[in-house]
Amino acid sequence: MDKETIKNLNDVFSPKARLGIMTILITTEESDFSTIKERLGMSDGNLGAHMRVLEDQEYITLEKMFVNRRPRTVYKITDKGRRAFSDHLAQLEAIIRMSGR
Amino acid sequence: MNTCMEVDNQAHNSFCYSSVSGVSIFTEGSNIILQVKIFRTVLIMIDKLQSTLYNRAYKKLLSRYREGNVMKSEEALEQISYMKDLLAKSRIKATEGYPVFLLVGIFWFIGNILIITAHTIPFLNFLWVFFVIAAAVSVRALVRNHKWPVMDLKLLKQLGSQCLFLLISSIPFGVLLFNLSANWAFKAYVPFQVGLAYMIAGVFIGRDMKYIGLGIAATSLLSLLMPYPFQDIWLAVVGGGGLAVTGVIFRNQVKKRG
Repeated sequence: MDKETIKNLNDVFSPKARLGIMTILITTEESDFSTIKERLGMSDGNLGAHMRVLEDQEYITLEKMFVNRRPRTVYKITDKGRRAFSDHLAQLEAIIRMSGR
Repeated sequence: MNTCMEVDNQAHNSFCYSSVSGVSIFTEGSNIILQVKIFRTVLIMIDKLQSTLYNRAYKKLLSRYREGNVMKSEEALEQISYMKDLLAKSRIKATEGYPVFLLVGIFWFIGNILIITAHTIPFLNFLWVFFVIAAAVSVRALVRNHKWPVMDLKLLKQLGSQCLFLLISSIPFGVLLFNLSANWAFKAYVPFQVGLAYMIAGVFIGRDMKYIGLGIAATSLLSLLMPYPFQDIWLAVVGGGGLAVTGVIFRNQVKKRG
């Protein structure tokens, strides 16, 4: 159990920012860039970099659109991302359980 | 032998020494053989060096891999509490909806006062239709234009539309089932349903919303005991006024929080 837990820990979710992005997207299904930025209190560049990592992993997808003539980037969580995130949560739970807390 | 004399470095000397017992060093063409042996020795040395370096690098990588993948329970707890905080921050709070409570309360107050003053006016039902449409458009405009805090607005919209659906669908249902054709019963039934919708919304939004719903439902039920025009006065003051006051209290709380 220990070894499996250690082996399967997903490094993608190690930075807090990515954990935050996934938390927001898993609860809201979709969210735009500025909302996520405001919620996490991050800069454009920093958030963009983390978004790209999650996108490369196919955990999220983005859709660009125009709302009231303004560009809007909407992010959505994919099934793969949902599975990976729930696995990660299960791992966290297992680690805490193993520590006996 | 001559070849050996020519070579003056330590490695070669030791090589020549070790090769003495061999058959090739003193024979014709020993120069080529010596070169091959030197080459082989160098290869062995490189191989040893490589394997040493590889072992070191492997050990380093392995330890890094282990360090990177082992998460302490404190870190796991920290991650979970971070997610919890994030969810708590984005949770819909009833207090943030103060502009809507304020506006709906004012409309409610005016509506019930209008019933009393416009009692004698014919086509009162038509007036009501316009009044309700005006109220709905105003609330919609407010919801669209107000700068809401960062929270789960999508969930709020879903909740709001479902509560509205519940309210609208319950009116004909109430009329058919409870025979609410009597004006006084109908006037109490509509806000009672609003109160119920608020209480349901309170399951998701929080205690504040539940209390508001409970207050509206109780006000509506109590209004059934009152004759005209006291029922309308009661509904205007306690129902509409109460909701408007709630809006003001929530506004103060929000401003105080900053």
